Amino acid sequence: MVLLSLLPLPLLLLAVLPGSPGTVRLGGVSLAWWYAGLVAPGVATLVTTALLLAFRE
Amino acid sequence: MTALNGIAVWTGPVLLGALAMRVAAGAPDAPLLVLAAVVAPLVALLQRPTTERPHPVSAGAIVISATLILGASFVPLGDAAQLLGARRWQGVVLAAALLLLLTLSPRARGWRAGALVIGGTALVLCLVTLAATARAPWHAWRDVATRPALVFGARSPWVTSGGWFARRATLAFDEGHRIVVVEPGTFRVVEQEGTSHVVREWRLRAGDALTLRPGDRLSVEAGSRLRFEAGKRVPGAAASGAVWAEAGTAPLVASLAGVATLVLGAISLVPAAGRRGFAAPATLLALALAAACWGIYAVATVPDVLLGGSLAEPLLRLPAATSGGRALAALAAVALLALFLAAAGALHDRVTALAAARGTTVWMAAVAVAAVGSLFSLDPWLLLTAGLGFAAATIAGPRLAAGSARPRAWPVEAIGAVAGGVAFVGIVALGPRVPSALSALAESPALPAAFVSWLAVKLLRRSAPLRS
Repeated sequence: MVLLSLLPLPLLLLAVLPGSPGTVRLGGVSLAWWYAGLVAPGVATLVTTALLLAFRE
Repeated sequence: MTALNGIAVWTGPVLLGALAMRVAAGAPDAPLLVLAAVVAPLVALLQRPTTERPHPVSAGAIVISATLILGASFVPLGDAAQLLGARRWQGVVLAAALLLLLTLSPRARGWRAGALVIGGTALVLCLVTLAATARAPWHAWRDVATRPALVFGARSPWVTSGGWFARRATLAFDEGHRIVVVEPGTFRVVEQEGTSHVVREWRLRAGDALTLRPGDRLSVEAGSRLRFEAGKRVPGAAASGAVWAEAGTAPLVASLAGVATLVLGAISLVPAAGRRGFAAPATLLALALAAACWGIYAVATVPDVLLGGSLAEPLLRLPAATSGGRALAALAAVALLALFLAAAGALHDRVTALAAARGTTVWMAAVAVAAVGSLFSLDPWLLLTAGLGFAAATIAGPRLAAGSARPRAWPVEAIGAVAGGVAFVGIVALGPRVPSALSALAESPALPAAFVSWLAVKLLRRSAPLRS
């Protein structure tokens, strides 16, 4: 639960760090959106599913 | 309650619609909101299951939160009815009747998860069709990001027949506009004259035109209908595609408080996953990403969709603006109704489980209050965050403070819930009178109120004797 709750923090850091690294484009899409829209939700979903499967066993 | 039933409370039309709208608007908090919308219910699924029956005070708090969230969920259905040419009350009454029929029928079982699957599948199917017939979401994102301005299209209803404002709005104009009134009303214009402002009120009839200059602000009442000129910038939209793509930076404290409201609200309302709950995380991910992609397609195809302030408008207008639009629009309407029923069904389960013998009466009262409340043009996002915030202050705070410790002789969690509820209402009531240094917290009252209830329970547990 703590790990999941901490997932938004890198996104906040990307926004406040000097040079605004969150606005850097990768494949035309900003780094902030890659993280918030794909990487972090994907990690959160995988971790939760793994934990739920572990509880089940 | 299965995990799919449990998360349905989260994937209602208001949250998904708000995600789509924030993404389409290029709001600074849009990426964080998308991420928090996935993470918050996942945290809740992993929480320790509660076995103890809640105190009547905590049960009452859940009922209040559920009523607020239900009221928020009715609003997009009323909006959809008006966008489809009917009256708001007809959409709300139809939805309420269908909901009561399903929730009060003893034979209707298993429909909640079914409604979530149907709604989610319809939403994703629309997007897959859009991606297959037009372009992938990231291509649409790149296309919008390179546009010099977000403008009204020539075939937009805001240009041809007149767009409809679901909520009261203030439009800021960056360039000159000539708008035509479709339905009579009073319009307030704040004109910029050098460094001062001049306020003018215009009573206009249908067909009257109003000319606005750069820097002017126009206040529009809910229910107004206006026509704009094709090719002009959409008032309130990002200045350009690049500005939309960069989205800017949301204030740090407000961002943290917003995330905390969603996480604590989810802990209060989304139950812990059972043994067969492993399908729920993937469902949450798919729906949140679908909502975000919907927002990208909306701004790429119909950028003026934000103007009316209705969460239902992107859902209904985006498919209609594409090839095969009618079938897709019908599918989107099915998604809206099914997601509403799934969310309301999950709330029903929470309310009736807590209210025990009086569950049906309490549920019917909650539906009646929520339906009547939704007839007033309230902001559904405000209602949803109020419901989540109140739940965070009265349920999550005390629950996190109590943990798994042995129960006490005093109802400490109920006392904490009262403290949190009073703090929440107090902060909301104080509103603008809160010192400016604390204004960010005052805008997200859930966090300070949840802290009050958490602290109250922690302190009380030290002095309260163990239950014998």
